[in-house]
Amino acid sequence: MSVKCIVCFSVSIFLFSSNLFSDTFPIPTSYDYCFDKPYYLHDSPPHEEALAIGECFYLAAENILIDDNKGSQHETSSSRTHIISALQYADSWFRIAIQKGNTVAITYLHHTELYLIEGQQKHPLKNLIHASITEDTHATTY
Amino acid sequence: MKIVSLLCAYSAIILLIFTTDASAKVTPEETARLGKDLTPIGAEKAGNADKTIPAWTGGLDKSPAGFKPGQPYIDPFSDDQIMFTIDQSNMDQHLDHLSLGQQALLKAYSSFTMPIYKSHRPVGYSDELIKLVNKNAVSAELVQDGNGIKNSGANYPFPIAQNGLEAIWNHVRRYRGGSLNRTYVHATPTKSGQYTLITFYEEFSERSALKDFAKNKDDNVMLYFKQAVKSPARLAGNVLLVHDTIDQVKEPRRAWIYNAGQRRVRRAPQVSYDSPGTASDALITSDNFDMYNGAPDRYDWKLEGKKELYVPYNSYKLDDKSLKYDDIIKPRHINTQYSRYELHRVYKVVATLKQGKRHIYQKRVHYIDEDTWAILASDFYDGHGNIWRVAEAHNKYFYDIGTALPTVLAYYDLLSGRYLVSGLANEIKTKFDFNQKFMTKDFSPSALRRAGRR
Repeated sequence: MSVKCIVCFSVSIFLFSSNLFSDTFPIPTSYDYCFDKPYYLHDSPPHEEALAIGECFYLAAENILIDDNKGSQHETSSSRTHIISALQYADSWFRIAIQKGNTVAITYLHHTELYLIEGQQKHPLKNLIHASITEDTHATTY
Repeated sequence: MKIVSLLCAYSAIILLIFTTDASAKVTPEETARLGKDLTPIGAEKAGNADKTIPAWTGGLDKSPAGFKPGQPYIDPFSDDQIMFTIDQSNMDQHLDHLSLGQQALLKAYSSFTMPIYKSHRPVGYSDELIKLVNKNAVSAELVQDGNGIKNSGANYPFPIAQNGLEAIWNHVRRYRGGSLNRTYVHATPTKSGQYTLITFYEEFSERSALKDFAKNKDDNVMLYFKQAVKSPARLAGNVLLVHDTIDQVKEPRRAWIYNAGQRRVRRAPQVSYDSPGTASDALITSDNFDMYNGAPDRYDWKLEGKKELYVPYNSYKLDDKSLKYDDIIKPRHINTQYSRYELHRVYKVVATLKQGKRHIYQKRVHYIDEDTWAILASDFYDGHGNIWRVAEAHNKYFYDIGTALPTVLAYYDLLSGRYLVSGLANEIKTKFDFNQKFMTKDFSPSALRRAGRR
């Protein structure tokens, strides 16, 4: 009985603290791996690579959003911050890709704009999934 | 033929004008103003016409009674009362003296207030520093399109700044006491105000302040910086080492990270530009640290003249040892009840991203204090031209050392509604120690492992 109590107590403490922890502790961002892309350190890589890095951040933002929706954690502060910053990184890479003549990046940039400008006020954390780039979009834009 | 000749002559004049402007050096007449109508580092000595900014009269000539070096700093202006407070309801009456970032903060948060106090200009300069700056004024030059400088001593290379690049180099190379170590905490509160404190221990030295300084050894390095995370346990032991270079095109910043979990030292070229700052929860970039640091090559820098602005100044109250972190860290922004704003003249420097270059900040506007060349307020714009982040440096003057440094740095993210507050040390016995002098080996990659021992 006492062992059972200790286990229950420990588990509840762990669950309580981890939940508390996850909300307030600055964890590594969910898009850290995008900074490891081989071309990241070149501030002006070829347009395909710029697009690929932008896509990495964009998809990371989308994944955070999907995870949040699954876990019903809409609008948690950290997630929202990470989505916004991931999209800002994506945005900056799409812009450089566009400057170098990449047309796919135009579509992506439009979708980051939808979230960063309109989504903030009108549809917080909703627009991104709806704006998701499909394979078809790729095909037609190319 | 005549038209061609005229065009040639016109082009030559235009070329001459632009060439002259780009490479303009300060004339001996202008340099002679230093210490006369200008302060030793180039600020206007006179007060303003409204008498709301006082004349500079040499700074505080002595430390407040009762102050002992190594003990907490006594607020020399503690008797001052708040003259008025700016908030959402009356901000329209003060727009001329507010940055766009401050206006955005006031509009976004009804609880954000700016208590305005009488202005003081306490900063003084040692004879040694004055000599150095006088020398710099006639010799320092920008090189590599402004990405480096030459013929300059350690601090304030361009006391009479001619352009934005010179102004930003003055910030990067401002006097910070030569060398120091410090312990402080930072936090990234959620919207509801929950936070976990992260404790940092930092060591900093200008190259010329090293005990084993040799003029020709490592002469492209301007400063050494080491930052160790001390708590919480999950992050403790991670250490960052940076050798910041003067000519960053010739040799980019050198950076290493010691990862306590992997027990490995590795190069960290990503610690620059817009990569996320250490343990910042994606709220600041690497080059946000100290308001601005690193290579200026991705931006066009423009000096848009001077402006009278309400800026955080003489922020002794925020560093008061009687306060707890909970008193200061509040949802959305720091507790502005403990802030102090004064009207000061600042240089407005606008950095716009160059064509073909990338950064998450499309534009950044820095407001640089005329008496310290420290950036006190900054606005950061995203790719869509909207103000995304706003930063404020709450400086105080260390009267026994002769330098003004931030006691609190606050970086507000207006899109997420969160912020990062850094530099707090209210519950730490000693924050700054300017007496520690370092050896080059203290900033070697092998020193990282030692610093990372938990």
